[in-house]
Amino acid sequence: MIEGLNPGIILILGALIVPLTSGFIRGILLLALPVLGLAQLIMLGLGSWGQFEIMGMQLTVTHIDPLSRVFGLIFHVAAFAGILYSLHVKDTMQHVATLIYAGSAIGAVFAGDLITLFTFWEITAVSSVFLIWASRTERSFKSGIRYLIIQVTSGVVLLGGIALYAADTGSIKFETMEFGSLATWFFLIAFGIKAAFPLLHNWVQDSYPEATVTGSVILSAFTTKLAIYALARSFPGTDLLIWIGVVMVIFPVVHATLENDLRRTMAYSLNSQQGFMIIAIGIGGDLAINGVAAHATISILYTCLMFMVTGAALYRTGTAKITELGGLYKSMPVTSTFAILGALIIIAAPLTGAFATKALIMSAALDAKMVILWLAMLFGAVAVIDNVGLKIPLFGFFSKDNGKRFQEAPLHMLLAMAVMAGFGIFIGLSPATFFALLPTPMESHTYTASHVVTQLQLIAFAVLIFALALRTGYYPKMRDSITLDFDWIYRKAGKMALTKTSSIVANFWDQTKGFGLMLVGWAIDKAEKSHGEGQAMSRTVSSGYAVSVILILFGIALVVIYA
Amino acid sequence: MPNSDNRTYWLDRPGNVNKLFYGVVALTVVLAIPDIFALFNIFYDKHPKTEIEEIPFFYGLYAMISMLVLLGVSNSVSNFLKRDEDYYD
Amino acid sequence: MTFFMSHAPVLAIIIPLMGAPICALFRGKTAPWLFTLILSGIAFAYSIDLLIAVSANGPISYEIGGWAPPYGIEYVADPLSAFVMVIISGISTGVLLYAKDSIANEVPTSRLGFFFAAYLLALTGMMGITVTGDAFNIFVFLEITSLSSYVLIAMGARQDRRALTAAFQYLIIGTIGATFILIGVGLLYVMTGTLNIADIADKFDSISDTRPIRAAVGFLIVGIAIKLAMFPFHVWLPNAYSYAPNIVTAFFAGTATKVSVYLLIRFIYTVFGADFSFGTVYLTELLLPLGVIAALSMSVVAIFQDNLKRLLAFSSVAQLGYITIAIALATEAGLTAGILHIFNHAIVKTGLFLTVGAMFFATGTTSIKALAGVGQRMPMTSFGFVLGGLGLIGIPLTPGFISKWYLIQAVLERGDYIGYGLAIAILLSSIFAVIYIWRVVEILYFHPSPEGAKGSEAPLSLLIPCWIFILGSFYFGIETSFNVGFAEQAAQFLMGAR
Repeated sequence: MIEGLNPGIILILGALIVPLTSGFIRGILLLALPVLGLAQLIMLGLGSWGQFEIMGMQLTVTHIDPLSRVFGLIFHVAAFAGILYSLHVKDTMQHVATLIYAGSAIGAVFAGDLITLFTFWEITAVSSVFLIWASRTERSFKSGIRYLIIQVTSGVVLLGGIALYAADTGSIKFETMEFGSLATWFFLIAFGIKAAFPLLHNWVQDSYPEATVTGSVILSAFTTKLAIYALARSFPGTDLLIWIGVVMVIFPVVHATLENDLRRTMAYSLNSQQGFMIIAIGIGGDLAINGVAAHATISILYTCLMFMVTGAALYRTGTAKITELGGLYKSMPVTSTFAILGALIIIAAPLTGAFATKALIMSAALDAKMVILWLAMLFGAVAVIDNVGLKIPLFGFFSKDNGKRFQEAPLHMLLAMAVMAGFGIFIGLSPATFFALLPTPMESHTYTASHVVTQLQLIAFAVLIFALALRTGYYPKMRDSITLDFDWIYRKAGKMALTKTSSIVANFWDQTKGFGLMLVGWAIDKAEKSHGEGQAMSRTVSSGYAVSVILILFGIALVVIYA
Repeated sequence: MPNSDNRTYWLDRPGNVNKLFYGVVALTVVLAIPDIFALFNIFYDKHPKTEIEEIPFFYGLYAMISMLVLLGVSNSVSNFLKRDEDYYD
Repeated sequence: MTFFMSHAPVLAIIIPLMGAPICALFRGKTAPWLFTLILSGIAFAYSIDLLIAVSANGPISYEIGGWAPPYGIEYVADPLSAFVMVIISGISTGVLLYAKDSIANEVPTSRLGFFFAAYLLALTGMMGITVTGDAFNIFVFLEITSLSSYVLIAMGARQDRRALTAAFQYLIIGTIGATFILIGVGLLYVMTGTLNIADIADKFDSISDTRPIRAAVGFLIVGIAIKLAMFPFHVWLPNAYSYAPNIVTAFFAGTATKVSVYLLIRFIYTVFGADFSFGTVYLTELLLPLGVIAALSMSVVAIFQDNLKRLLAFSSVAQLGYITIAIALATEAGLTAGILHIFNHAIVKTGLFLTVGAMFFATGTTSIKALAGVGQRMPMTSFGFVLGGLGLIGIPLTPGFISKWYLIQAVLERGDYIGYGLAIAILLSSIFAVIYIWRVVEILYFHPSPEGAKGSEAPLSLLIPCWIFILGSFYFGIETSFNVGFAEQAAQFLMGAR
């Protein structure tokens, strides 16, 4: 292999061969590419490769350090499992898009400079939209357009930031930056869009549930976590992020509680979990950044797993709505087991990965004496028990039987779930093995008596209230409906305003054009009369609209020039 | 397999859901015990990092309060936020 | 070859000029086209030789008939003019590769000889404007270009009668522009007693305070702005581009306005000098707002167009806005960005017009609505359009990105809020470009073909030249040493000249 080739490029180039293959060979190729990428990543070790100069700027195509390595590793695992999960798909477009998308996300993680980052950043945006469009419905098409506009905007803002940053500092190295200048605000917004910051978040809940069964699994793994990586790389210890993160943790949980669609519930919950990582980046310091890397890894594992589980339900039953599902555990016992496993991981039950990783972030907050912040995160941790830990398995798989029976999910889907669940639990069983990969070496004290007891207490009492609420009928009724969110502003109010403005603008131009055409028509008419039969030769060429404009501008020009 | 499955599952039997519920109640009681021990400083040490953690049963209480707040807020905004599935179309 | 090389500046002009009347005598479909292609190719080869020679040895001066300036007419090839000559003759040759089937479809065979004669004259005129070192000669070549272009545009009348009005309107406005330039040149002559550009430039400083000179500056700037289709002097351009035969549009889109940009740079930087243009009179304050309005409002107008050629025409006016901004910055970085964009926009826009021409060839329409579903029927052409569109938007790896990168760096170099504002305006305009390109792509790919829609993939004779431009644009977007290198060289030369 080429020395220092960015592992992501292996996936992207491999994607180009995929259309030439079919059947069994294609399956092997699809699964082999992430493995090859992973092998390249492990062979490379740490360091920088592929440095060259273009237009006076120093590019570094491949830069691997401990932080980027953690994200790169989990991205490869997610790519492998996601592809395994989607082996049954016969749609070439989806396979190619998946590989290019995963490859560019990996490529972006290992980008050593901002230009390389930007390039991969935009490729993730453009390639991933095909996973949404692959549903081939009117709804998914529109949703994909909205997604694309937002994602490309993120790229454009990033580019603006890069230009400013390069002008300010003369460097385009992708490294820790001092937050404050205009350029860094641009970066924050660009990263924030992809990280689903509050008010910039709607694309997640809008598009992920519209993607194909397999598409949403793939989508959930990369874009948002890439943004987390970018923020952790550039702005650790930026106070502003703490407050953004707190709002992020709390803001989406109400929606997740009310939501009827399982995949949309997951999308809201994912948003809340992002908040934990944003807070940790805001706290900064070795422990918190370790927490970010560790929790992002676990978060990818359980989010993908839950999207796989709900996706399998959708694949077999044709719906992911709570109101339409019933007694699924009878038809799909294995999938239901994975749903419970995923739920256990997501609620950070002892012996699962999140138990180990969430604690890193929580104790980083306490070490920094931020008690209010800690309470807010604890609230988020309780909310996720309700939103995902209980709601998805119970309402989705163990709800009252409605008499319908389906087949168990296909074997390759179950295997993909097993990969994710396996890693999630392995990390919980042996946290030290995983912590050795984190950016800063540290001692881990995951299994202390008090940590186990308090966490179990938290879970048990939350379950108690959940059960009580169900029995008394206090729990919000699931209805076949959607829940308004901030996107109402641009999807309803904005649309109305835009339609209005554009009709005004169009009208204005029509008027102006009409006026112009009238004048030109008049000029031509006049010319015809003066040149026409029986008329005298024209004395002067008739002045028209254009000519008067020219004269006015000439007048202005003279004034300026004489000034 | 569709519709050919007439097995009765454990959850289908009357009363079993109740058993599950009482199981949860029992579990919470068991998990509250270490905090009682901690009050007397026997068998179990809480290692609190902040003062707030020293409140007895803090985690259980906080989980219950959080859940009630979450459900309360959800219930109260539910009608305001819910719209038909094709609202945007 | 020494004879041919030493006469290169004049041969690049004389060969197409002499060829034009001969071409008018040819009959049939192939002969006039092939003849024109060969002559244009020769001019292209000379231009490249000239550029290499100028780049290595500095400006080359050629005295017509051996009469030394300031009495004789002098042709001067400096880094800027040689670079622009390569663009013009290169675009012309590329378009001609494509022209045979396309034009035979649109113009009666009996007139093809005249058509290509006019084409050669237009080429002569544009090359002449670029290389001549004589102010009055500029006017002469300008008129040669203009007259032949009126003819070329009017040739579209068989497809759409509105080509006649468009040509007529262009004639009126173009003539006013030319007259302004003539008055400007006349005033310069009265004040300096010479028509040689280098001479005028030498004497300029001593008389720059006089009123006639300031009037001359006003006449020249406004006259050139009309020819350049600078907003709001652009009214002639959209119609002319929309109704002209497709290859004429493709040819002019890459060259005609670019020649006027060349004139603007030549007068502002060489004749008046940057100190006078931006210090004594306030051309930045005059040109910058026009450029910004063009980049923004014309992009918005493009969004609302129903005709694809018209849409691209308005997009051209917007892109000329970028160039205007770049020139008005009065810095070396700005000038580099402007000259670079002359090249980059020429290759991208010509490629786009050629793909549109191929769509017209197959379907007989350029109305966007009527092109629904062409993405399936003409996959290669449509994909070419998409790639060209990416270049227009300025996605990395395309030349549009390189230009915008340099332009944004140049405006940020100002370091004040106007600089930031300009950068935002440029980014905003790029977003508008995304919208208008996307609108087309959506209809091409995602709308079903109408019942009984005509047209399958365009023939290879059209596809190959299209793709030469498209792939070429990507080449120059990745390997930028040619375009960036010569643009920098030209900018350094102009800024160092005075």
